[in-house]
Amino acid sequence: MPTNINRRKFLAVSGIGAAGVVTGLGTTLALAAPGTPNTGDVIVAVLLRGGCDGLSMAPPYGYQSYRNLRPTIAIPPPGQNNGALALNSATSPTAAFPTGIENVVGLHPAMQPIHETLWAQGRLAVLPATGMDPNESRTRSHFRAEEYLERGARSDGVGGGFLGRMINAGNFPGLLNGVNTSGRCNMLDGGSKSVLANDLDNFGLTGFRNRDQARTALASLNSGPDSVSAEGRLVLDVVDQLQSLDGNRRPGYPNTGLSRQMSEVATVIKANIGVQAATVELGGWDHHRDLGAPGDTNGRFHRRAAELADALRAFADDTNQLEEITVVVLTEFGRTINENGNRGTDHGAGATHMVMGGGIRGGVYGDDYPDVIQDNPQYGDLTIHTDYRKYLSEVVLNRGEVNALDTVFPTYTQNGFLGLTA
Amino acid sequence: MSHIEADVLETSARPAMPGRRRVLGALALGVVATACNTGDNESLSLQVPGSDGDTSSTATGPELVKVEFPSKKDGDAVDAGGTSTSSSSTTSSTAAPQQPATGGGGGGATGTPGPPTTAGSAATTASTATTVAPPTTAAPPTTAPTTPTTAAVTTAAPTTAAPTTAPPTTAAPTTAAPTTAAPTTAAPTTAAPTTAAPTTAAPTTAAPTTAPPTTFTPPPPVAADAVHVANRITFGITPAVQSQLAALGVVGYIEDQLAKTAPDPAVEARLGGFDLPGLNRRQVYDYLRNDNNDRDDLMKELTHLAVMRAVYSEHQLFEMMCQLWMDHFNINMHGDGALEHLHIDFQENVIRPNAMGTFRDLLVATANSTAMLAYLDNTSSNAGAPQGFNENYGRELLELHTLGIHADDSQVYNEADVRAASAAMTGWSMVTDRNANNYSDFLFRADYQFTGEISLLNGAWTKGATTGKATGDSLLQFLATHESTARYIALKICRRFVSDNPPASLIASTAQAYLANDTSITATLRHVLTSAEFAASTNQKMRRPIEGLAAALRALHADVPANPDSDAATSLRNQLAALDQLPWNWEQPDGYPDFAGHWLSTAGLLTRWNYGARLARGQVNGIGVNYGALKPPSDSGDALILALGVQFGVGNLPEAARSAIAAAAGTGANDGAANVSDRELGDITALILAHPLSQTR
Repeated sequence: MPTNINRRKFLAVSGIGAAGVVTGLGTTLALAAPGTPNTGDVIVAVLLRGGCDGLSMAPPYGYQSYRNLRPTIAIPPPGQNNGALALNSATSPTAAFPTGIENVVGLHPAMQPIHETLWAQGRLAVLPATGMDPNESRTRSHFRAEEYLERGARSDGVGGGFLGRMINAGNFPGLLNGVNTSGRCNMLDGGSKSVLANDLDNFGLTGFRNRDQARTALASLNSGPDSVSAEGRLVLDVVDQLQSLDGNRRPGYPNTGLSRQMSEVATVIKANIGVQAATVELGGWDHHRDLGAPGDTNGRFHRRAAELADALRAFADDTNQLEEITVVVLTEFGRTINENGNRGTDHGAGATHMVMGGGIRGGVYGDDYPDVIQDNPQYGDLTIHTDYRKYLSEVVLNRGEVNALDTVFPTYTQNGFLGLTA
Repeated sequence: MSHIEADVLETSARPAMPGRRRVLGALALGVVATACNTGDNESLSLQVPGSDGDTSSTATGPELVKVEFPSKKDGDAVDAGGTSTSSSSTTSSTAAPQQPATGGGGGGATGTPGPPTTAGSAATTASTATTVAPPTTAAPPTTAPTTPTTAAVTTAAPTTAAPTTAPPTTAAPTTAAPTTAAPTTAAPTTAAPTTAAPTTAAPTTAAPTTAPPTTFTPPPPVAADAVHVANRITFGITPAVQSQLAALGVVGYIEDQLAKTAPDPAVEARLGGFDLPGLNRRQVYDYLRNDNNDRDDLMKELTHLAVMRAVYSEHQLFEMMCQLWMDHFNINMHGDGALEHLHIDFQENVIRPNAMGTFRDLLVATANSTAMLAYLDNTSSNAGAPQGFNENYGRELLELHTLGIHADDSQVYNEADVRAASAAMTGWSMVTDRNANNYSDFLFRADYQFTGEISLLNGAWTKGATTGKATGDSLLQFLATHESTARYIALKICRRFVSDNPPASLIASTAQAYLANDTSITATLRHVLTSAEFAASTNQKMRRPIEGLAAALRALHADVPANPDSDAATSLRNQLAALDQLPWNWEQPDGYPDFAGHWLSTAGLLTRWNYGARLARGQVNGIGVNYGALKPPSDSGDALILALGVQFGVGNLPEAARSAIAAAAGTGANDGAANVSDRELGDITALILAHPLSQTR
């Protein structure tokens, strides 16, 4: 599909939007402002599961301390063989560098596919030294850290995932608001009108024989005014919509797991059925050994980063460079600043997150960045200077246009924005 | 967990707990709610219509029932005027007036006692929450060691400060109270207009540790609809259950189930292929440490145990109660302190033997279990540690296990009481030597015990002369029979068996039944199951995933192999994982939610439909469907579908639905039942299992 239908206008006039839902479900589905289409971006969250090494993703090549700590895996400065990709005004004229680390921190060479597009266009924000406030959690357990990250809070008294709460607070019109293309993601947990659709071709009445006639019977059985029947009719509506979609990988996407997920997200977004949030994931970042030397395109980190960059590039190319879409790239923690005896790194603290979109002002953001790469006995390997909920709050409010940050991040105390929403 | 994180957890979790409930409530409203007349966001009635819209429903045709919940105001009036109040106010006139006083703050000032306050009447003592010296400081502000008037927790040393020298005053508590009580009392103050608000409720509801306050005269039993009873106290109706109901009558059937207070030996005998249920703690530890086994093996056995018992036990109500208590005393297998090898012991030897005894015994058993003590960090809670003892268990003991936070967000205890309970339970620990034969057995550690005075709920319970483990034992006995515990346990049972938001009148009367019968679980259940409110609550409960799965298997006469390693067991486990109800996998200590709003979702419903259809059609590897036993006698294909609907508990299917089902199954309306093939039966039952009434109970 060469151009993106303007989703907002479509929703405003289409029967598939708010009006369709309300009339289809009778009286039991409460929508705050039926008929008011959301004008906010679709938020697409990409979870890098396993603890992506932030100092490889955004190498601080300008620091001797970094090169000393990582004798075989440090990325050289830009311009040198296999050097980092420069993040500065020369490569992205409109970019912002509020922490003044232009020409200090770069991007891993495998990220070239989006460096030459989204970064150059001024649509990519890089956030080094990011994570959950260490006063809330300093866990280095994958399980715990992922749980907290996806929930948006350490406290298990907070229900669901942060995107699920965003969906509920947004009270969006449309048939389907959230799509999770990975069975393991929990960021959309608890969200109404959110589905796990990790295989569009098989999202349907797969248990039944004679599916068309079964659908008729199911509609008859679920025709009452009760809440279960109402949900049943919603199931049938969603099945109808998703079954009509082509689950095949769209043109231009590489044949990788992440690209397949991104392709399905693009398909569902383009179907104009009300999707406001989607989650995908790419695992395999737990590089305790053989992370990969600079220039080794078969290195474990390089291959993962390339799969990420290729998928993001294809998705951006498929969506008019992320028009009305904001993509956030998260990981549960960064890794130790020093290279271990196996040429890998272990579980650490500050990580590198990224935000990109048509409404994002590119740059390198954060509340601060260390002057030297050194272990901090109080906060651990690479101090977390920016709470990830700071940029997410800005994205949710200014791009997602959901004004309910207390609900989305109930344990996080707001303290201003970074200014990355253009 | 480090102490620092524990502190963070505490401060961040407190305001969030009510918030989570609000999230769920909002979700429920968005997805399934229909308005109730309480104006309460959490109020939610799950309405399911009669199948044919005929209001003159029969015993097999559930009808549309909308329960008008009494207003909150009424409920609170009941609470306040309940029988326990009058009695406890009598006691409080002797015990409660001695208003607590301690040195405030943790500054470590030496020997400055908080002046004891002697208020003139019970009424005035209610004005402030207790004050407390933060137990994490070892500083010695104290109160009179010899009187029962001390506030929640004080430090040990009977120091120089003689309480008698301190002039009675009312000023001290009021200045100290806000700083300590604020964290917990802030959230629930939405319940302010009620009489159960924390600050006022504590003194009035403080019950003595002993006898229940009054005699309770149970109302005459009300016999509910037979299908309704089967829906609620079994994991799904079957022809056998229908026969028993017909033979014994509804009340007789309930009594029969109430008398079955132990596991069904016939089912237990089928569990020979399981490795774990008979093992003790040490043996399970060794089993899991064996290279050939891991967490997956534990999960396989726990899950398949749950499925087999739910589907095949004749002691259905007993199994329902086991699941209720497993949620009430939930231990997240992956929790920070949880020890995986203790789950079997906790489930088999703590919960199940006490599931239908007294709540008193059940509570004591859980408190003595190292599974719980480890999970909630009590095993390492050491009053002598520089950071002080750990409040995790003490908090959940009050909030989740006993006194509770009630449906209107009210609570009778405050932060000081949390610390007091935590102090009282110090020393309840376990053997940590992994090489010892008694590794992870209970161990009382006197060196961990808090040695100062301890007092709860404005002196309603004090440590008194107890020492050693007896202090904790005394507290547990007090909590088990507390009026607030009675109301909280009543709420949990009524929510399980009546509706998500049970009528306040029923909670109040159930609490009385609980207290009048010395916390007897069966007596409490009898009261609920024969109440008018229960009879009027048909189809208001959403089946949780394991209930939906068990109901389908029971209705289909499915033959599930007992082997936890079988393909069938794997498939069922995967289904429960997809629907997020694996045993012991709920992350919070409050257990799987019992609200429809949590379980009713688009993806969840589609998943249920598809899996039910695969089961019905014999498409799940290793699970056979006995189509011969399934087929009711009938004259025609249409009559067969009608009869199957009744047999499956969804009532009389209307003509339009019958013909749509027949079309999908390829069954001619006039085909003789004998000509309906197994494949058609599979298609028919697949669709009946997708009926809305198949999702409710």
